[in-house]
Amino acid sequence: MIEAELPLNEKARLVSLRNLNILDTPLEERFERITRMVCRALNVPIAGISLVDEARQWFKSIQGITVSETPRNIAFCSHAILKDELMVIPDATEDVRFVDNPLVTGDPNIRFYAGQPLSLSADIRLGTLCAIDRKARVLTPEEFETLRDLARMAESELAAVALSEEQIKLIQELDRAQREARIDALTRLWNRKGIEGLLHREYDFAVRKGFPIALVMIDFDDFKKINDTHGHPVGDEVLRGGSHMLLTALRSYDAVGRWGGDEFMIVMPGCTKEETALALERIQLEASRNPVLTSQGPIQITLSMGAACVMPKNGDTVEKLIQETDDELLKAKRNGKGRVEIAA
Amino acid sequence: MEEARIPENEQQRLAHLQNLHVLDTPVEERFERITRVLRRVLDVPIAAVSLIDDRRQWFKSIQGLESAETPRNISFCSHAILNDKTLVIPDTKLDPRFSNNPLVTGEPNVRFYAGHPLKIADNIRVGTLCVFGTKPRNLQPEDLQFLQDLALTTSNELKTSMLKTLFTQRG
Repeated sequence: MIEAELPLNEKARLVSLRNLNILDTPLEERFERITRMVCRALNVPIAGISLVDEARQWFKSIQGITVSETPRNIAFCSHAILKDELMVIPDATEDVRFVDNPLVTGDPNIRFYAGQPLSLSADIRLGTLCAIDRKARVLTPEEFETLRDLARMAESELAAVALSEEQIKLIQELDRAQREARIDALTRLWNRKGIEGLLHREYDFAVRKGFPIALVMIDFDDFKKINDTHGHPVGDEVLRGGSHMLLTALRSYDAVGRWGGDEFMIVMPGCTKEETALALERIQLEASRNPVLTSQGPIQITLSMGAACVMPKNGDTVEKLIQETDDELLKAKRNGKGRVEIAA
Repeated sequence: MEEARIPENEQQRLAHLQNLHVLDTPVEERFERITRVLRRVLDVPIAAVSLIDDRRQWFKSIQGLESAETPRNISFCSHAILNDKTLVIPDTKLDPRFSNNPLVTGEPNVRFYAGHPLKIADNIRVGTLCVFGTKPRNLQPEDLQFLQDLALTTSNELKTSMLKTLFTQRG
């Protein structure tokens, strides 16, 4: 058996976990629902939301077995939290890390494990949403996606905070007609007027609070060619599918808007340069792994991205930030497209 | 065709819906994720988060159909919000309430429907999480449980916006 090493940021991770005030709390239906859904969706007898504490793994929710915690050194989840990706063990008896693990050789006789790490902020993985079976099996691509989606729901429940204050305030102030005027009909994301208004608000908020803010501009590479080759209706499908894909890699309080044509803008309040870089890498990975499914089949897209991250002070302007971001986008285009450029 | 009656506490219900500040807002990943998972796991053509406004049904999220809203009086979901149970219609053509509903006799040719109400407070149901398709379908008990679980998760997402709003208003 091989024990998982400690994450590099273990101290910070434990602080985050303690701050959640969730360890050793009673059963809550909102988490029971999620583990129940994992059982049904992946067709497994055991599913859990596990939080990896200093010396133990504690289950906020567990279906299929009655146990509330196990020592950390035998927990599969302690391995899963070392990386960002979903960890799949098709057969624990064939994996040198787990073959003589007591949870495999004895109760509950784990053979298959799939665990998606749960994060509330970049690089801090608190635990996992996991699915366990007593027989060896594989995970289909659909099941993989579903487990990931359910894990995001679990994160949502853990955080219980969604849109940024400024997005909420903006939405509250607008009546129905004003909201409709700010939404792009094709993608149902913010339109230019909407995202620009939001950017000004988030920028002012950042100035007031001394927070950073990141701005990203994204361009679909060779979009004219897609339109010419497949026709405008399919081009529209590409814009819709591609822009919605952006959402999957962003936090719930980032905002996406259609700046115009095939250009999109992302406003990321409170986001540092490192966090921005991570998010944009994720988007590039998503784009390269997942061609947009259209009525004419899958179409591979690449995105050019320019980003600038600032800690704005009184006197700095939104216009300057937009210009900087645009310059980076131009750089990305010139340097080969399908890449990210971030202002130094 | 039978139109759903209006709930007795309709004014109160609409006030709660307005307070969610969710109508006519852009697409959000946290709801797209829900309809995506639902569609995939239940293997249905269309899944949606639908909100019942004064005169219309507005979709916060819808996968499998290009539609932003439909009139309230022909919507299935307006029936589903009348109580706490899942509304299940295995074959719309065999149900006198819906057999000559324009959404059945014409586009999008709804032949089966299942919708669980989104309840955000006692007796306040603002819409549904629903699935539908163009062929009759009998959903299994585990499927209905899944729909219900996901509907409650959806309600929580909606309530999160409301709670956040309350906190910001208090300053």
